[in-house]
Amino acid sequence: MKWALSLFKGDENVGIVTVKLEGRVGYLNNTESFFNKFIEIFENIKEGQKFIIDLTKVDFIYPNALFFLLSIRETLRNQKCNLDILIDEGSEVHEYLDYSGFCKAFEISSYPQNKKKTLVKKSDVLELEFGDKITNYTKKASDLVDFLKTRQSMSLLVESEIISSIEEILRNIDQHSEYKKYYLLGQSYPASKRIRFVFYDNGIGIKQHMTRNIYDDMHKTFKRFVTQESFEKMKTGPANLAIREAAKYAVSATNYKDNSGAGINYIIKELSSITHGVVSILSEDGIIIWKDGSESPVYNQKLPYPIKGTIVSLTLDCEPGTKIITRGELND
Amino acid sequence: MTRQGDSIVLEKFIVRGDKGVLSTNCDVASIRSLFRNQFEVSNKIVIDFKGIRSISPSFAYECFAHIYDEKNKLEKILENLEVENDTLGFKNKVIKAIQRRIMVLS
Repeated sequence: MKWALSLFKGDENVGIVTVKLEGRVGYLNNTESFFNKFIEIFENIKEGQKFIIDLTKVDFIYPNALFFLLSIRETLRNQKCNLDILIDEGSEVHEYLDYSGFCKAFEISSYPQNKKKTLVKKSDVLELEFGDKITNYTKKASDLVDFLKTRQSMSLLVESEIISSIEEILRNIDQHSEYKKYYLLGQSYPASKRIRFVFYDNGIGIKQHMTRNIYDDMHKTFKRFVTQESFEKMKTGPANLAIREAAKYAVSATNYKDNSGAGINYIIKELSSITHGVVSILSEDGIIIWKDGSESPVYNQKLPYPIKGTIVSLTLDCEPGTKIITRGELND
Repeated sequence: MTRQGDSIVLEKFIVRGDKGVLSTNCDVASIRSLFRNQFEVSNKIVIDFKGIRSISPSFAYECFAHIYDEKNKLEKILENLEVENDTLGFKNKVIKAIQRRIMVLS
C-alpha cells in the first residue's frame, strides 16, 4: 500500500512536482540522477507549491542522502512549499527510516508495530539526534563513542581521536553556523569494522560564514593564508572554494584567540590518516571529499544547486591496518 | 606544582563531566600560563597525561602552541618537552601543534 503523509500545507493550485528516486540513493553514486531531478525544482520554485518525493522504488538510502533530503525539506519549508514523502508502508526503506530515527526527523509515522521484522539490523543503525541547541560538546562526543563501543570494538587510540574530532565538529556547528536545527547520526558497520558519523545543520553555511566580513577584517585572522584576490574569489565563487579555505590549518573566520582553526584540518589530515577515513563536507553549493589523510581532495565539485546549511560526514575504520578503503566505497 | 622539574598533571584541569577529555572547555589561559611558568623556572616542560582520554586539536593548539608567540622559544620547548603516562601518544599531538604554529609564525 502506498502511503503518504503531508508534512506541511501549501497551495496545491500553484502546481505539483513529483520527484521519483530509484534504487540505492546516495549523493555520489548516482549523482546525475539524484541531483538533476532537483535542479528544475529549485530553478522554478514558487511559494506555496506542492512537492512529492517518491521513495517507493528506492531499495536503500544512505544516511548522507537522507540528510540531503532533510536539507531540501528545510529549503522548501523556507519557501512555504508543501512537501510529501511517499513510501511503501512496511517496506525495508520505511523500517530503515524508523530504526535510524528519520521517521521522527521527517515527521512521518513509525514503521507499523505489527510488521516489525529484522530487515535492518539494529546494530547497524545507532543513533540519530536532532534538536535546537547543541549543549556540552565534549560530553556528547564521549557519550556517542561510549555508545558505539557497546556495539563495536575500537582501539583506545581511535576512540581518543574520534572523541576529539566529534567535539571539534559540534563546536564548529554551534559557534559558527547560526543553525536553527541540527541533526547528528552515528552508525556502525561491525562486519567491515567501520563507523560513520553524519552531522547536519541548517545554518548559514561555510561560505557565508567565511565571507561575511570585509577582507580587511578577515586579513587580521587569515594573515598570509588568504589574499585579497582569493578572498574575492571565495566570496563570488562556489562554496567549495570557501570549504577548501576553511579546511586549511589555522584559518578561522574569527579571531584565533577564540578559534584556532585547528579542528577541521586535524580531522582531514590526522584523524583520517590514522583511521583510513573518508571525510566529506557539503555546504551550500559545494562539496569536497578527502580520504586517507591527504590534504588534496579526491572530489571537489560545485553542486548544481545550493542546499541549506552544511553536511559533514566521517567514515572511519575502527581497527586501522586491517582494511584498505577502496574508491568505490566513496559512493555512499 | 611548578617547583623545578615537577610535572603538570593535566587531569586536574578536566572540566567536571567531560569524561577525561581535554578541550577548550577547560581554562586554557591558566593552563598555558602554568606551562610558561614551568618553562621559565626549569627550562623544560613536563606533562603528566595520567587519566586523559582525549585531547582536542583546538586545545593542543591554543594551549601548547601559544605558550609563546616567538618561533625560537617554541622551538626550545620542542627540544625540552618531557611526558609521563603517555599511553595514547599525546606527546605527538602536542609536538605537531607546536610545529604547525612555528610554521604559521615563519
